[in-house]
Amino acid sequence: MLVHCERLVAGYGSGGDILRGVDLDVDTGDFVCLIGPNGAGKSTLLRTISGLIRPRRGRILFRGKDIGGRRPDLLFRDGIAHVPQGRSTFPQMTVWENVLMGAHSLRDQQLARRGLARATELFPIVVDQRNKAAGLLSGGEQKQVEIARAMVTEPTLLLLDEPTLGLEPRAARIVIQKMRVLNELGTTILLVEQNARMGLSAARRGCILELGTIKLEGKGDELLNDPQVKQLYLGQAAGVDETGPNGTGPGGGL
Amino acid sequence: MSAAMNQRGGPARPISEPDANLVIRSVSKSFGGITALSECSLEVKAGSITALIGPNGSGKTTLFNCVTGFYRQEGGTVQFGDTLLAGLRPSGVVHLGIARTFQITRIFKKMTVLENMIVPIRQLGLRTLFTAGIKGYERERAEGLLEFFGIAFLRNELAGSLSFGQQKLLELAAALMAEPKLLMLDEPAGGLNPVMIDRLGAYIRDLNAGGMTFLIIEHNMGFVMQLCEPVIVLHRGRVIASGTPAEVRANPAVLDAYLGD
Amino acid sequence: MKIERRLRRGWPWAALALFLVVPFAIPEGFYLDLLMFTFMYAAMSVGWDIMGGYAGYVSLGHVGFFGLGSYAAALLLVHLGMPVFVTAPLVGVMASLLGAGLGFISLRTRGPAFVIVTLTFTYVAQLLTLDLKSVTGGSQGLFLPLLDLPANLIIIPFYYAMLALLVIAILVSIAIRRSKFGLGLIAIREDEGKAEASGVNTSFYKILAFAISVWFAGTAGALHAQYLNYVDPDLAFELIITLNLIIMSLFGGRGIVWGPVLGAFVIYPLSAYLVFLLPSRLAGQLHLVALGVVLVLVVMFMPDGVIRTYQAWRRKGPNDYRPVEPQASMAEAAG
Repeated sequence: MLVHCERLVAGYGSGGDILRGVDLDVDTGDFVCLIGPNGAGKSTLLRTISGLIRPRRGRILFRGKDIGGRRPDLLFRDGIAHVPQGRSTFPQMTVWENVLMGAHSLRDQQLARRGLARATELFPIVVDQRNKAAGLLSGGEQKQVEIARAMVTEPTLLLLDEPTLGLEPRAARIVIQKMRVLNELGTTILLVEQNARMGLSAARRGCILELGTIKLEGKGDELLNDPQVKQLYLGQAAGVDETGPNGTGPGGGL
Repeated sequence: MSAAMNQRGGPARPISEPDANLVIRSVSKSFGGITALSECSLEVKAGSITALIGPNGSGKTTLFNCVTGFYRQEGGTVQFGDTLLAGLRPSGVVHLGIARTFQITRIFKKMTVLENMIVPIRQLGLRTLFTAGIKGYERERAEGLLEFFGIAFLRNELAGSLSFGQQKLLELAAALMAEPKLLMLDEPAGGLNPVMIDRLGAYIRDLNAGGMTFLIIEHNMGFVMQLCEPVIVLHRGRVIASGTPAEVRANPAVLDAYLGD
Repeated sequence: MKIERRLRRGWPWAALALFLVVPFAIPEGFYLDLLMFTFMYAAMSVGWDIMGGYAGYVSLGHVGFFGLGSYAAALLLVHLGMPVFVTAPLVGVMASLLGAGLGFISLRTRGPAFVIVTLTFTYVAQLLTLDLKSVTGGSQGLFLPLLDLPANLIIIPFYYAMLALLVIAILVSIAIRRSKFGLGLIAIREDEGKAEASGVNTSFYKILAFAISVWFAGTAGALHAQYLNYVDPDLAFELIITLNLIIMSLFGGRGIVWGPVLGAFVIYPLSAYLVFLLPSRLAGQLHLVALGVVLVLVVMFMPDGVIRTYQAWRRKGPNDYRPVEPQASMAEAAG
């Protein structure tokens, strides 16, 4: 069990509880997609795991050790990488410099070189656009740079918060595809996606978070085809990438 | 001045007036060395729900900004009904009947929901400007719209404390307070969960049935294809295709530029 | 409970009644002078806050209108014989027109143009009064004829005039705050682009707010000139006046009706007392230093001003960003 959350309660500042007792287990090598309504606590859960928020009650175990309240930079060294929602590239640095920033905390030069080589392999854009200012790239390209940067330390657990937000369909597909590849190569992924269909079809498992607790869990495709889930969480309209050339897509098309 | 309210509280069909089509002819716009719009021409027919799609950087938001007066276009004309929108400031464009929302939801976070609804009310002169409080019918209209979108219970909350989806609905409701004939939405479904997106689509259809014209920028193809017609595709600052969803989806140029792999 | 509410609603009236009778109860020139200047600064601060607090556009030029108001009243009296108590409001209107003109130049764009233009305006106004010697008497200044009253009673009309100015300022500020104009100004402060996109003609609103805002400075300047019986470029355009206005607003709370009033009633008497205590040669410089220190302290520890900080403290922490959700989950709502 890589990540074990037990009755996790968390919130912001002096505000109310957003997470109200989350029980979640993520196995090594798993690819879990978190879906659910706005305000349910999906981003909050990621932030609690990566150390940006301190849990109020309950436990989080990472590799069997309690990490509740541990500093985010230490958790980063322990192997948890978090790609936040929205744009987080350094727009005036070049693509290569952005990715280099990922190696910033690595003291071992060899590890750093290996990590950078790995990231470059997985994300050719890092080489193709290495000298371009990151801010000049398209949204999808910037997101790839952000993920590449996160992968430089070869993290055990990759947390992604709505990576396809604001991306055009093609870019969204590429980003999701990259995640699949990363997972197949061994990185455990916890993904938050509003594009529920796209997220669930890429992931192995899905979890539905609502009002601060996990309401439902299961295999990705099982949830996708569950009529109740479809009605309550997946909506009638298909998602972003649903229209391939023939009007069909991973989610079953229109 | 105040439109009659239908039972649901949404705006009623405008009393018969010449169809206000939005006609954009050969509009160009550059920033520094970068051409955002290149002799772009398109038409939004009154009463339609028109989609504007295309890759990022194709000029969609730039076009919005030119129409709504935030940017000054270089060359070309923008006409709404009989009026040329040349050099009008944004508030002037709103008074002509065109309202918009923003790609990143923009509301007055430190004001209450109700105050957000009051700001767009048209001031007809110094007298209305200085009268205290909200007039009865204005409040009714605001309440009606908030009711329509299901957020009336939040009327006295600070707008910044609303959830993301609620903020999006507030932005939409406030845009409607200005009694627009054309509503331009910039990625309204962005960041919303699928159930909310369905709800949004239903609202748009409802408003459209009452006579509202829509021009919608969106990346969510599922949403666009079952809601909008025509679908206009922008690429590198010009229109490369326009037609029904099916036509556009099968168009090789569109697949190449945007939809295909 | 009822008494508490009556007290909360009624205190301004009680204070007004009190101030109305003070000259009869305490005819001491020193205290009346202190109060009169407090009223003057409070009125000008409230006026300043209409632009700086509601709309969020900081004017560094209010003293320019104060000074020009002083000169205008002086000239009208000396050359046309028009008494200042009659011309003061009209001088205010002249200041408003000038302010509108200045606004037209600098307020049609966003950004720092306004602040820079208002600051420049003050210096230009001062230079004009220095240079146009034949009209203004240059650095020698102008003398205004004394009012026809016994010396110990001279302060009385000024006391009531400034009190009236303050009352008008407060009423105008309240009216604006409650109106759509005021909401529009606040919208401009919060997000000017969104305000414009909501149909608010931001340039017009800003220019109007500025014109109203400087009326108080112009009128106060006119009355002030008659009180001193003298105007000169240094006195009329003292930078410290603008500083006072800003500090008073910030101290009490920007964008609140009573904020600048509280600021004036605290800061002016304190600074007058400071001047009283210090030997006269140091007073000027130390006074400025003290004001500067107060400004820094306010910005560091109470940037929202006393009133808002107090309100927040009473609520014990604002819950501004707690997301508000309907309590039923989707499943429950679906039935």
